[in-house]
Amino acid sequence: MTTQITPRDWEHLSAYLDGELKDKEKILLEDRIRKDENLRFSLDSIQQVRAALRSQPIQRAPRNFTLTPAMAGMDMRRSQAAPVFPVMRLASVLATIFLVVISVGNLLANRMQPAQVSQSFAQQPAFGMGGGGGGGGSESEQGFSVSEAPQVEEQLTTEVSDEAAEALPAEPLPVEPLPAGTESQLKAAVPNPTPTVQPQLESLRKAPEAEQPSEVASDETAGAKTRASVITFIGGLQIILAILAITTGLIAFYFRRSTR
Amino acid sequence: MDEAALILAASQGDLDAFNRLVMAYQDILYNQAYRIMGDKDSAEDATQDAFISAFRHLSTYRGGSFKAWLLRIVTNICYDELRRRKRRPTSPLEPLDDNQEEIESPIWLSDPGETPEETTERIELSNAIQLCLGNLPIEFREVVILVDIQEMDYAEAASVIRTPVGTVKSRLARARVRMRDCLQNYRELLPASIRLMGESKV
Repeated sequence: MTTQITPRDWEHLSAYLDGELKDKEKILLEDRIRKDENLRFSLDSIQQVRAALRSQPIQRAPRNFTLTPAMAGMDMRRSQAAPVFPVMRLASVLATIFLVVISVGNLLANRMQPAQVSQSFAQQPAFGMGGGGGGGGSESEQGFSVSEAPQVEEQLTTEVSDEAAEALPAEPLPVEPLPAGTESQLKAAVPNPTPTVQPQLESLRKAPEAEQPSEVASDETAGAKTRASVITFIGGLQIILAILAITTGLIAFYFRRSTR
Repeated sequence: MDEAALILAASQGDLDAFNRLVMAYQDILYNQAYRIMGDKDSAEDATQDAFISAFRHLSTYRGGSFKAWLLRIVTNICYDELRRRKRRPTSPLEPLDDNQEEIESPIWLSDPGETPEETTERIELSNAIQLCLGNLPIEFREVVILVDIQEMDYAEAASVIRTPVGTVKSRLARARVRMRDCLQNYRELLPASIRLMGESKV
């Protein structure tokens, strides 16, 4: 009897050669092989293949593959570097994000500030350091009289100069640019306006013409000082963040390259 | 020191212990790589990479057959290399037929001017077997190498390639049939002991 060999038969024949058939399957297959010449021939053919493959000598390693300390060291360096890369990458990304956020925020604040300032000064008498562009146009209409400035100057210089000299910082305060004319008036009125000068300035309220401008000038000076310190802080922060982003990015790049 | 102690010591960074394991298994790994890759240089590279990788990932070894674990690593490295070659093909060794398709049969290596006897003399059986192995799909090749060359049982082979035993069984049968078809061209090369095999004992 001769039958067509199915893939299932091949599996059984192959497993039979390897002793991987269950006893029951083995008995059934042996019975079929006895009766089926084609099956017997197929078994012989793959038995030859198996024998040919198993006759192949083992290929000996042509050299030793033992690891040198350098190889192991290289890999240890890699494994140590492994956590450095994601940390540096994260730090770089975070620093960049903060830098962008702060820069954009600072830019927006700078754009909004002039509008607010001009709006606030439009409601005040047109005078003072913060008057900036807003105060310039209205000087001639109301407010400060240039001719009265020397009186204020005398009082301030006599009463305040000693304390002011002690209290004021050595460095000149950052002051926003003033319109032409206003600066000279202000200098005449308040040579070095600081918060410590405030009590003495209270006594000057007797001079109504000089009173209001002096207060505004003092407030504006303090505001300018605060703004300047904030700007300095933000600028420093931006520089630090930029350096951090670049440095960590470079370190991450280096470790990425070295572990490849 | 037994194998388990060596593995433990190696996992704690003892390079000498690991190198003793390397010495014990390097022939097996090289043989596996050579049979898969088909050339000695690639087999050397794969074997070295396998041991480096094994040292690096020794902490992931979860017991069982250390030989099977190493063979899995070297087999995977060979796969990666073969896949890489497939992505970046170089000039094919096999010639193209009239339809511009590769001639897969190793018979093309024979000189048409040669007599069969001369061809037989030129090509050794091992080369023929290697060529036939090279023509097998990779999933068949690895099984036939593990079972017929490394002489593993089905369960061990299954643990190396992480497939069910039934898959090993079916792949092996199909691989042997394909090897039989291929080796028909080199029947004369087979030793008499193998050629006369088949006067079935059943």
